[in-house]
Amino acid sequence: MRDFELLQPKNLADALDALAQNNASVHPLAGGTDMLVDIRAQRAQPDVLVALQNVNELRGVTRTNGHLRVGASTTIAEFLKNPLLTEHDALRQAASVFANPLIRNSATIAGNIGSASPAGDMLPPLLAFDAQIELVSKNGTRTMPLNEFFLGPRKTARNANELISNLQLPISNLQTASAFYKLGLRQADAISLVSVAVWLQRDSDMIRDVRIALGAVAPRPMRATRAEEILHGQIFNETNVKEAARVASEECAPIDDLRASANYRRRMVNVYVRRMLEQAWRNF
Amino acid sequence: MIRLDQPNLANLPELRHIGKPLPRIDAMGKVTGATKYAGDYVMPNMLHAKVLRSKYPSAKILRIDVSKARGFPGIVAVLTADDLPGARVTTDIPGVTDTAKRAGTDAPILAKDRVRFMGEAIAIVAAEELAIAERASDLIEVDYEPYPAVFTPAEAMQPGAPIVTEPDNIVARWRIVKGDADAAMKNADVIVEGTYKTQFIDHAYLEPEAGIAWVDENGVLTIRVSTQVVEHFRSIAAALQLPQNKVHVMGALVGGGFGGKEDITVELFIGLAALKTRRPVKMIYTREESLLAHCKRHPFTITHKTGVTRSGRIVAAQVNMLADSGAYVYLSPYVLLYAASSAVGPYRVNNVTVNACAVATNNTFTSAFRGFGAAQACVAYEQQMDEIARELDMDPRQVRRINYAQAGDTTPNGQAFRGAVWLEECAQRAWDALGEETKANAPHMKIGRGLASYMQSYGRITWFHDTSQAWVGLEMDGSIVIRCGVPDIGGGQMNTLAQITAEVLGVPMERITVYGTDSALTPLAGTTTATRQMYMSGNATYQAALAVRKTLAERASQHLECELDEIDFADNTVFVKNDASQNMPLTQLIAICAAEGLPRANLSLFKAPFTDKLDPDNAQGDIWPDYTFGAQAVKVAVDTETGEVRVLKSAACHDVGRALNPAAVAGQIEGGAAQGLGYALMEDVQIVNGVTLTPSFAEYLIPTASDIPETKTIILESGTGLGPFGAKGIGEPALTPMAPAIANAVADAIGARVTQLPLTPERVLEAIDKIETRFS
Repeated sequence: MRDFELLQPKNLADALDALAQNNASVHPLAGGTDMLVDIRAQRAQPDVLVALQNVNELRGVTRTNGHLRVGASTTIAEFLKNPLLTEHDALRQAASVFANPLIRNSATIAGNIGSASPAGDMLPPLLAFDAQIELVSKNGTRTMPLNEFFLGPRKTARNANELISNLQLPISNLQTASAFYKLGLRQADAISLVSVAVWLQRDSDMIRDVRIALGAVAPRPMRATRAEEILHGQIFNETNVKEAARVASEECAPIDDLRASANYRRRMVNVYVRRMLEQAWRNF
Repeated sequence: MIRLDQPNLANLPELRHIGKPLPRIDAMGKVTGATKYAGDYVMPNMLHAKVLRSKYPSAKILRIDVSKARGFPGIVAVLTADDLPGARVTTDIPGVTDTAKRAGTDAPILAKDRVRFMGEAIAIVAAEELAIAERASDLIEVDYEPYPAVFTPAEAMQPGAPIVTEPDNIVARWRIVKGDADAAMKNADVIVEGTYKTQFIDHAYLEPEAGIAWVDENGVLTIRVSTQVVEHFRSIAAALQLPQNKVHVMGALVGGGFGGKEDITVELFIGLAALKTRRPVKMIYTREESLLAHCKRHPFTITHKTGVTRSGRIVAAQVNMLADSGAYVYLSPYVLLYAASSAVGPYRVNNVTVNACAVATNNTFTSAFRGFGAAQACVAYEQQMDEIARELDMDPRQVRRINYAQAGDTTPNGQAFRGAVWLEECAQRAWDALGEETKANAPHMKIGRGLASYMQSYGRITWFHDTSQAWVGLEMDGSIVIRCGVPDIGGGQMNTLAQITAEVLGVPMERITVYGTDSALTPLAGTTTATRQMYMSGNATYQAALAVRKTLAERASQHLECELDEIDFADNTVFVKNDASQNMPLTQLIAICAAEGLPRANLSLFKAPFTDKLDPDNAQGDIWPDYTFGAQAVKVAVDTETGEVRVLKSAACHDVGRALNPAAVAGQIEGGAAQGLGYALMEDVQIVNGVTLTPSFAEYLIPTASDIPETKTIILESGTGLGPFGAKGIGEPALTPMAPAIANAVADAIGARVTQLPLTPERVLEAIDKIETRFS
């Protein structure tokens, strides 16, 4: 394993100073559950790691003005404990099948986002909740839709001098429901073959608004926007749901790998988009 | 755990320690973390060693340049094939009295001019620090030239195929002929054919391969290693050209073996480095190294052709088996024999032909794995039994009942089952334990139930002339020492010896200390393989303890003035059976014996039955001392839209002869069922064109606690085993029936069969698609 320097800043300003060298081999370190494995396997070779566990500014979950603000250092385990988080079904369900309890205690939401694996378990539900991501650097902050943050496998819009500071989820509990499923080759500690998150807003029999997000079936976690369009403003019925599921399976772009074929993944998108829409609707 | 005594069937006497679920002597250390494993040992002045491994599955080595490594600060030694004395390690079974080695079964310790699989060892680097040793691959230059390769047994058997093992890639063949299967097949009403495939899997023990070697003050090469076989000291001596008494192998408690530590692992690498540097050298495989470069379970393709009558009676069977032995032979010939001999399972089949072949390829080498070929055979024969039932439109359990072997029936080799054969009893109880049939809770879900019966030998091949020795002695304070070279791989091997001795000498377990797993200081007890230690070393210990008891009892009968057979031992006391008021403390008796020079210790050798080798024409003859029988039943839920399988219930019933420690037996059964679940549903070392695509536990999946249902364990005790107190082995048998039981349950659920393990969701869905195509 290659040597690296470990910095442990005590506050955000020091952390941003450390990153300000704007050097690609300086990297933030959150829970370390991806980064340390990658370093050992020589997939990552940082010279400097900036550990964030002492940076209090990155912690905390608050709810204000219809937004849920989730600090970058929020651990996955907190999504199973904090009532502000657990009331959102898709997030809670994703957290409950995220790796294993040990990893969940260490891994953070920003780490999962920053790693930008197409199969990252928390990413489809965050996309389904239309999360905005806030990035901070010495030069200031900027906010963008999370959907625009992922550029490709392990590639993001984060500049080397930036940190993910928090996520903002527009929350309206008025007639909304969500659902998530992860298909893996075992019940825990598995990499997704396919994951599906949906978010629905209902207006009597109608779907007022809908978001469908898919994991592990494209170079990055993706919104199935064509499928969403089929449902938007339409009646929730079997025909519409089936058609949306079919279209979602067409607009994803999975690959063959050692875990499953692209064809199988496509088919599972079809099955699970349908099932998650039905499940979310049942939750109203 | 349910334990059923069968007073009508076996009249076993009530004992004081045997048959009790006593806490194991090794439990506290493991629970508290105090137990030292081989990799935990450190020594002053110790070096760390790493192996440089081949990057290609098949290549010529044109040049190895170690000059950069040799001059690198902190690197103390670099060894290549040029530095080795013998340069080859025998892969034959240690302790075999037949000295004629099979030709061509040796493997190089370090590759010289050719590598035959990806991960083959090329050089050893010993350094002051592990991080420096890990730089070996940066510092040693190897020039390769790709060499033609073969990656499947079928390719390797083609005329003109590249040769991995001389002369023709055929590593072993067994042809078993009993009766006349061709002729009998003509009398069949129905002929059922099926082909079943199994995959490479990994032992995935908690503790990877590890050891530390040093040259002691007497010039003895001493190796502390995680191993199932301390008797590898002989092949280590041969490979290093040392006298056998100059190699000392000390084991440690092993963090899981499952056959993966049956062959030599790190011993020669660290032994060579210690001899070269004259300093202690330690090596621990990384998990990735263990997955890449140590042995795997043999993948098999097994084809059954079974002739049956309309009423369900099997009249003939023809079975073909093809196994992938990987790049080196190791134990393939024996794994293949286990498979071939159990090809038709525990059924009465009078006309059988088995043709089995193991073939070399440029894949990772394959060798021992819990079940040792007999497990792969069971995957096939138990699915075939269900297929026969389907063809005949009969209940699979009824087809089994009609065909189950009975005591006195014979294997395809003509070996008779001499003890109780409680197949039907085991199957019935396991099935009943699943409970009532249940209905799925959603239209896309299907529930299925499956059963598998099995037979699995315990004890080694009888022409290996297997023996074990144990020493039992009383100290002056009435405490006991047992010395027996048994490697304890977590199954409670040492505890078993303590429990037997406690029973015989009437001393509580906490007053007994067991020394094991040392090739020089404990009497040699053979390998912890082949489900043999309870049987072999248990009997050796039992004999030794009985001999001590006899001496003591004779002296006590004089002192207490009674007949010899009236003397009994319990609770550190010697007493007259029918009048316990006539007694003496054990320590008083020991003092008398000591004063009179009577022996208070005994070294005993237990000898398994010895037989001649098999008839070379038809492989007829005895192969093993005895068999364990049992059954596994499971209930599964299958999602017919996705192919996902969940095991809802698991129940296993085994006749273990006598459960010396029922808690330990239940532990084996639960663990075996869990490992079998992994084999059935997810474990798969994917080796494609010689490259392992599952190099870590992120890709190679074993079941988690969330995947494993409770296994209801039902322990039957026929009392007819060859072990002490009528016990039979359970280590390997516990795994064998699980995978086919799950395959049968999935087939029951969906009405179609996935004939290739593991039953991934995608394969299950393909099978469902085929039915739907058939009907549409």
